[in-house]
Amino acid sequence: MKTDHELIRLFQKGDQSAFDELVKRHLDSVYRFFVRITIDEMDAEDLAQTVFIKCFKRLKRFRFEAEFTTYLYRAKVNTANSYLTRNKWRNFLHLDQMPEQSYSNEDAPISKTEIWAHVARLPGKQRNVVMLRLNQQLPFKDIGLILNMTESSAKVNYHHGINKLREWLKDIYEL
Amino acid sequence: MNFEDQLQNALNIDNAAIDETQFIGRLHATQRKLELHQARFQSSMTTAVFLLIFGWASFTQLNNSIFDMGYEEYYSYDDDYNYFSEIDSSDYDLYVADMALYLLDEDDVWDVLEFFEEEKYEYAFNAKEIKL
Repeated sequence: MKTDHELIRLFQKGDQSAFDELVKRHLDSVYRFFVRITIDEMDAEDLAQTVFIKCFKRLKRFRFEAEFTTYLYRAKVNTANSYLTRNKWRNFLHLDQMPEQSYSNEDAPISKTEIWAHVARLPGKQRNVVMLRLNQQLPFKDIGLILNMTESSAKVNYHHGINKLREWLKDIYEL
Repeated sequence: MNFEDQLQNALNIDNAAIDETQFIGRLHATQRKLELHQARFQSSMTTAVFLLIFGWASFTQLNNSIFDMGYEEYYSYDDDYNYFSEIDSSDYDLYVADMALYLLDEDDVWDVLEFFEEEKYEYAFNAKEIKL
């Protein structure tokens, strides 16, 4: 089985099927990342498309200095950030009118929509760390590597972010 | 259950699945669209650059004669302009013209002008003819 880097090399030489193979390999993780964030599966699919189109455009200049998964995480975080920022005001203004998500845990005491609406209010670094930790349960070391920060900086940002979320959600859910 | 566990529990999705073939089909369609847009953009840019260069080259080859032309030259009337050929469109015009020519034969230009005034006729000067 070829590695990600080998597939990228083939794609850079013009082999389209190598890119398809790369998409197949990572589609599930990308899709599930966005399903956890978005309102419905159509939005998640659109965002996954956006990520792979970004890859399609930029992989031709990929320099093999980092793992492809690291690159993919950055693309996912950037795309999710755009989505959350775009929907920030809409979420707050129409929170009570929004349909519940297709994939949501109905037994959970907190709504997914409200979690991300509040995550969108966090400052950039805290938002990115919280997003990766909550969404993917990644170790802080890996989060630091993806977001170009130290492990301890990732921990501190996460701590601040989670405390703010607790504060904001406390009044709604009596946590 | 602590707060973080509650959040992760809310985001738990065991049943999410995507149709891989359909997704890749859509991705290919988007890629083709993107390539088409890029090709169109490149061709538009090439055309724009070509037109710019061609326009600039043409402009630099123009001589400046049109800018040197004076007001009078630009608006001057043709010397061979036949004034009376314009006023034979009606009997009245012919009558005025005949009368004017008759009075001119009498060598009295002021009579001609007076006649025009009486008729309230819209006459036009030809400075050269009056000098003659």
